Amino acid sequence: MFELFKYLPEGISSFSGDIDSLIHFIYLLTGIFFVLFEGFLIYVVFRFRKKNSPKAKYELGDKWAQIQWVVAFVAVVVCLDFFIDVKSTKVWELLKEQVPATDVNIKVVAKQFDWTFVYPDKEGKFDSDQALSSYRELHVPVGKKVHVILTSQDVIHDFFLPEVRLKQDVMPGREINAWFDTNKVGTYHIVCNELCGFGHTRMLAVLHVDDEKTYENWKVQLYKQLHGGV
Amino acid sequence: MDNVTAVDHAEYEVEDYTGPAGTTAGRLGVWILISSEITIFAGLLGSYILFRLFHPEWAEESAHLNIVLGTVNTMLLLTSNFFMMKASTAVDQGDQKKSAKLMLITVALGLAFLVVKGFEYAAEFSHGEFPSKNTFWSFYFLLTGLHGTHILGGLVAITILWAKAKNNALGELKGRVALTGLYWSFVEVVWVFLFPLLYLLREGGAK
Amino acid sequence: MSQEHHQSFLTKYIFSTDHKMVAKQFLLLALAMAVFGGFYAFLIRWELAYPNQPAPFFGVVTPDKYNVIITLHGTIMLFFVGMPLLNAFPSNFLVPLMIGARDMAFPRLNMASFWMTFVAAILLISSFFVPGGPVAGGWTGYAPLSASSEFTGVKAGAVLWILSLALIFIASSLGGINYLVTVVTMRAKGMTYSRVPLTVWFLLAAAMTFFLAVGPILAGAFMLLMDNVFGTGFFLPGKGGEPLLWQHLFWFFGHPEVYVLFFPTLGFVLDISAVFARKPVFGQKLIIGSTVVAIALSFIVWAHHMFQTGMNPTLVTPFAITTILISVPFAIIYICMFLTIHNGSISLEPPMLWALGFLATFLVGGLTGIFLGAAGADIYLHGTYFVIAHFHYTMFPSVFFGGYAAINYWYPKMFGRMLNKTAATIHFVLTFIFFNCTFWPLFIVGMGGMVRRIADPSFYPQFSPFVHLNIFATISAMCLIATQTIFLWNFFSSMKNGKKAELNPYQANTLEWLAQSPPPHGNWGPKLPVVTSGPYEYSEPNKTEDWHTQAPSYKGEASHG
Repeated sequence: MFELFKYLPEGISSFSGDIDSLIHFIYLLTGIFFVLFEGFLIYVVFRFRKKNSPKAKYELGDKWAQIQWVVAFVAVVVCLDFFIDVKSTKVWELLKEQVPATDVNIKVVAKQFDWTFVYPDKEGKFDSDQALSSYRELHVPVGKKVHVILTSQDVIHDFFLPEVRLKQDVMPGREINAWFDTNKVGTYHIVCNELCGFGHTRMLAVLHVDDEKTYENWKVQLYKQLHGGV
Repeated sequence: MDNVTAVDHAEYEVEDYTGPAGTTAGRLGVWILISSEITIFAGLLGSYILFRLFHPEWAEESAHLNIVLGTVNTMLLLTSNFFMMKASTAVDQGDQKKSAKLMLITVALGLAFLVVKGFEYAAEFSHGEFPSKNTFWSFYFLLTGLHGTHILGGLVAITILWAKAKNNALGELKGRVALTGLYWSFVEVVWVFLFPLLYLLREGGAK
Repeated sequence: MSQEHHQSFLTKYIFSTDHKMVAKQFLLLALAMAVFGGFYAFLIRWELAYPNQPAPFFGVVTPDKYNVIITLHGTIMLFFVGMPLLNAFPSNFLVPLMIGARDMAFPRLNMASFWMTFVAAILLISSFFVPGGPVAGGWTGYAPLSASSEFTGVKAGAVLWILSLALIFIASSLGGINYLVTVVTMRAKGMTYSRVPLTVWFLLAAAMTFFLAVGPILAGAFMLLMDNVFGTGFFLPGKGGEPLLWQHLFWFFGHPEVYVLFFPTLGFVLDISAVFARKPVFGQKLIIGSTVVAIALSFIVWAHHMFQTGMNPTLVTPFAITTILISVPFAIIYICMFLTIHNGSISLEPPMLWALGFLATFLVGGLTGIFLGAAGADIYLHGTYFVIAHFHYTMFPSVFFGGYAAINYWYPKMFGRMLNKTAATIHFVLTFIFFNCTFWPLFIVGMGGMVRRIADPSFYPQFSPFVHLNIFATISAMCLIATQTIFLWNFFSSMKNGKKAELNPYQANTLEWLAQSPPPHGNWGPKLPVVTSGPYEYSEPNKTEDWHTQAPSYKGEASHG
C-alpha cells in the first residue's frame, strides 16, 4: 500500500509539482484516518468480543456528554477538509480559471478517433493556407507556455497529458481554452480519456517536448511536407 | 394533507389487511406521485427555460404556434377541472349518478382538448414543423406530448370511474374520484405552465 | 385471517400481491441479473489482463464488444442488481413486518412495480438480439455519443436501453411511493416514528431520495429518446443542442442515486450491529438528523462529477465546498456506527461479519473520494482507474456487503431455515479477501495514469510496467466471482436442508422476529402487535435479559386456536 505512487509518471510542467503535492497531502491525511479507523475497528472487534466483554454497556448516545466527542471529531474533519480545499482551489485557479499570457497557440481538433494539432500562421490565424496541421503529433517548445484551443467535431473527447498533469474534456460545439507548460525535453503521451466510440482505445497521440531549435526545425520540415518546399 | 398528519403517532388501528387505510393512504400516495411528477416537468421546463435564455430567436418559432387554439385548450382544461371537482363533491354527497354525468362532461372536455391538440399538430406538421426542425420544436413536441399522455391517462382513469358510477357501483372506489380529481388538477396546472412558456413568450409579446 | 388456501399457484408465486413474495421475486431477479453483471465483470477484467486473447465462454473481447460490456455491467449492477437488492427486496420484505402491518398500502402497485422491473430487464437483455447490438456509450450514456446512431452504429439497442431505464425508474418510484405511504399510514399501535427501526428509516430515506431525484433523469431520458428516434437535437450541438445538459440531468440524479444504494446498507449495518453487539444504536436521533442533511446536500453536489468537462470553472469552487460539507453528516453516521459496537459484546455471526466488513471497506471508498472531490487533484485522477477503484470501494460494500448482510440476517425469517454458518463464514472471508485484492491494485494502476474504458491496454506502452498488477487484479476478480457460488449453493440448498429456524434466532427486539418464520399471508395473528418500546433496548442496566421485544403483549398465532 505504500507503493501507491510507484508508477506515477514523472511530472514535467510547472504545476505538476503542485498537483502531486496536493495528492500527497491528501494521501497523508486520509492515510492517517485510514490507520486510525481500521486500527480502532480491529481493536473493538478483539477487545469487545463476547468472551472478552460478556456484558455490553448501555449507551444511547443521546447525551451531550456522549456525543461531544463525535462533534469535536467532525469539527476536526471539516477543518482538514477545508484545508484540502484551499490547497486544491489554488491549483485549480492556476490551471483552469483563466489562460495566462502564452507564447504558443495551438488548436486541438478531436474527432473519432484522431487528434489533429493546428499551428497558426504568422498572423495567428488557424484557417489560412499557411497554418500547419500535425496529425497525432504535438510538438511544443520546452519552457514555453502553450495555449491549447480544444475543439471536437463529433462527440466528447478528453485531452489528457498524464506527465503534464493536464486533463480537459473536449466538447463538440464549443471551444475550450486550456494551457500548460513543460520543463523537460522528451517524448510523452496524449490519451483520450472520455469514451468516444469503438475506436476510443486507439485514440492516442504523442507529445514531443523539443528545445527551441528542434521545434523550429520540425515546423519547417512540416511546412515543407505540407506545401512541398518553401 | 391534514389527514396525513392526523394519523401521526399511530393513534389509529388498522385491522384490515387488504389494503390502504381509507382514503388517507391514497391521498398521500397521489401527493407523492405528483411531487415526483413535478420533478420530471421541472427538469424539462428548467432545461427549456435555460435554452430559451440563450436563444432569443426562438420567439420567432413560438409565433408559429396557434395561440387561439392554445387559449381554447386552456379554457377546455380549466372547465373540465371544474366539472371534475363537482363530480367529486357529488360522490361525497352520495349522488353517484350525478357524479357520473359530471365525469362524462369532464371526459368530453378532455377529449376535446386532445382533438384540438391533434389539429394543432397536424397543422404544424403540414408546415414542416417536426420535432427535428430545431430544438424549440423538439421541446414543444416533447412537453406537449408528455402532457398529452398524462391527459390520456387521466381520461382512462375517469372513464373507468364513470362506468362504475353510472350504475351506482363505485363501492370501495368512492375515494378514487377525489384522488383522480387531484391528479387531474395537477395535469391542468402543468398546462398552465406550458401555455405561457410555449405560446405566449413570442415575437412581439402575447397578442 | 390467513387466506393462503384461496391462492392458486399463479396468484401465490407469479402475480402475487403479498409483500413477502414480491420481495422474494425482487431478490431472485437481483441475483439472476448479478450473474450477468458478474460475467461482464469477468470479461472486462479478462480483457485488461490478457488483451486480445479469447476469453473463456465468450471469445475475443473486441473494442466494440468491450464498450457494450462495460455499459451493461454498469447499468445492470446499479439498476438491476443494486436497486432490487437494496431497495425493492428489503423494503418489500421488511417495511410491513418491522412496522407491524399486514401488507403494503398498495399491494397491487407493488406487484406492478415488480413486473415493470422484470420487463425492463427483459428489454435490456433483448437488445442483444437487435441489429447493431446493445448500447455501447457507457452506463453514464454521455451525449452526443448516446444521442445518435451515427457515432456508435447502435440504434435499436440504444432505444431499448433508454426505455428499459425509464421503465425501471418509474417502477422504482412507484415502489418508493408505496413504502413511504405504508410507513406513514400503517404503523402498528404504539409504533411512533422514534420507535421505527433504522432499517426502515434508511429504506425510506432511499425511496425519498430516489423519487425526488428521478424526475430530471426521466426528463433527460425522454429527450435522449427523441434524439435517437425522431432525430431531434437536444444534446447534439450540430442541431443547436447542448451535450452538457445531459450530464447535468444525469448527475443531478446520479449522485443522489449513489445514496439510494448506500442508505439501505447503513440501516442494515446499524440494526445488525445493535443485535450482535447487544447494544443500542449510538446516537439514533443524530443519525436520522444527519441523514436528512445528507439528502438535502446530495442534490447540490452533482457537478463534482463534471469538473473537467469545461463547465464554468468558477462554479467549481462552490461545488467543491458542498462536496466537502456532505462529508460531515456521513462522518457523524460513520462514527456512530463505530461507537455502536464499541463497548458492546460482539458475536461474529455471519451477518455481523458482513456489517464489519462493510465498515472496513467502505472507509476506503469514502477516504479516496476526497482525492476526487478536491478539484485540483481531480485534474489528474479524473477518469483513471483510481476512480474505478474508488467507486467500487463504495458500491461493492454497499450493494454486496450490505446485501449479503441483509440476506444472511433475515434469511431465517424469509425461508424458515438457517443458512449453513460455516459456508456463510467462508463465503465472507473469501469475498473480503478477493474483493480487496481485486480493487486495491487499481488505485496504484490509476495513479500510474491508466485511464478507464479502454479496451486494449497493450496498445499503451506506458502501462506495461504495471501489467502484473492488472493480472493480479484479474485473477482476484475471477476468484471473487467463483467465491459467490458458495453463497448461491448455501442460499438454495439451505431452503430445503437448512436447520429449522426459531422465531427469533438472534434474540432481536424488532417486530419481524415475532412473526412466524416464514410469516403467513397477512403476517400477524388475529391481533396486531402493540408496540411499547424502542427497537434498540439491548443490555439495559438492572434487567436480567439483555433484550426485550418491542411488542411484549403480542400473542402470535397461539390465540388463534
